[in-house]
Amino acid sequence: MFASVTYPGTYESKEHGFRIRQDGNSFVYLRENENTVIEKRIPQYGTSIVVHPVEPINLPREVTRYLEIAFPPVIMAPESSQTIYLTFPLEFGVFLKSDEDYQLLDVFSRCAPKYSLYGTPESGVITRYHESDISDKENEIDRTIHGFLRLEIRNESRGWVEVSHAVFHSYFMPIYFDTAAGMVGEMKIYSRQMAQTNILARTFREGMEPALPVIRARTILNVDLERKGFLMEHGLG
Amino acid sequence: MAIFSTAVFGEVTVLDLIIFAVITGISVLIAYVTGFYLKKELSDSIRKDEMFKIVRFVQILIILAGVFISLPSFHVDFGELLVIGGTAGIIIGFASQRLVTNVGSGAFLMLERPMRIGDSVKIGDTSGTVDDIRVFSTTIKTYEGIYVRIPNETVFTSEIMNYDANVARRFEYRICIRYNDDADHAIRIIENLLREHPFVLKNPKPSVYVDELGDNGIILMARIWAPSSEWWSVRTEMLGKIKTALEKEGIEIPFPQRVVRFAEKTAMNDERIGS
Repeated sequence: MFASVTYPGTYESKEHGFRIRQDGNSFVYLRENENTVIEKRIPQYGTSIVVHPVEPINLPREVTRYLEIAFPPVIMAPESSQTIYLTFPLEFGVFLKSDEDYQLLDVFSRCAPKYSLYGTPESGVITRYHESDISDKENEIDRTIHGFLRLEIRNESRGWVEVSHAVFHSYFMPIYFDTAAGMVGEMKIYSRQMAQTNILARTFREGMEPALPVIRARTILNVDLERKGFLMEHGLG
Repeated sequence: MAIFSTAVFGEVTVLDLIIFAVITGISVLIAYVTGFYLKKELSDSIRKDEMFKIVRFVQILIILAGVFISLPSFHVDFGELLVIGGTAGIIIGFASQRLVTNVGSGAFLMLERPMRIGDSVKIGDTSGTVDDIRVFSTTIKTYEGIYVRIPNETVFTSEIMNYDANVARRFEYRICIRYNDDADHAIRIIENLLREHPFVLKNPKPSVYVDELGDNGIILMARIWAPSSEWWSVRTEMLGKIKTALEKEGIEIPFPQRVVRFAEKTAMNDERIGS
């Protein structure tokens, strides 16, 4: 599902729906579906093409940097913790990769995108919205549409809290992959209205590889953002 | 070289002038190069308007530093300079009151930040995109592509409508269908279309309902929230799709109509006509 394509050369991926063909002295990356045709000329030498899972905020075009996952309500006892397994929408990034650097070429997905507003129009944020069931059975999920998120919820407050939403910032969203894509997140609940979320630089399971991040491909910010996360202050349900 | 030691005015010699020009020139050059590299480095990581502010601030700082370094060549007494500068400032301030008002308004606009570069705004009667917020004026590029310069004093005292200040905004459609069409069915069709569109926000939910029993048909109201950056494209896209989807299901938009009733022929009417 996630691939590394030897290049230069011609290639056709029926699974991903793109192909690389030679056109005279140059090569052309081509992906077609019902609505769009992506055609880009790519360098002749010194690069390879890799397909990795990327932060799911790019389609149909990037309008936000936040991912919101809605799930069936989870009741958290005071000062307790629980781990749940969710899904996130899978977006495939096609990268041109040289020894030193990489460049995003294309993004596609089989998951229909939807956006939402977390909070109020004045102080809230636009989010990429995804509804997920709570399940730890990987076989029940189509790995070409969804990735897995292991979310460790810690209720640090002294009251009972019902949680059914988690919003994550994609500035730091490390995704790992083998035959499926996975992330590990944490959510610290401070009150019924407030929680801190982070995606951790930790593999979902042993042997997974880190995916190339799109956000870092576009920025020069190199500070450690793992601790920054996102403060959910507009409610958790 | 006697020419270098020739006094131009007071104790200032030609050499002093050359030193001043060279140092100031170098500082301008350094400011230019620094600005170029700052733009190159920051363009991907921060907003365009913030980048310009940082670049300008750094450039002014470098040039001022250059001027400050080169001033001793003029044998300037900084104490005197401050007194002269202060007095000159008051005189110039009185002489150019409107100018100072504009500068003050500009400073307050930068502090209050009712708009940012790139925002869609309406200032007084001018609508468009904010092109730049400068010391004396704000420039707007209207939707027709016309450059408009508005003095900051006018901007500060005008009503400003900023369409991008909030992350999401609502728009609405009024859709009229015939009385013999199934309004519930029409509502379901519209709701399904809205559900499928990525930028019609999930929350707040779009609402579609019968708003009015009009002269020509049933008027449905569709209220839709979309990201502020996308609302116009959603608005222009969805109305045509709604029309097509309704027509596909046999629901039509009615033409204006009026029911005309002719009086029936009765005995009473005949008597009236006869008399």
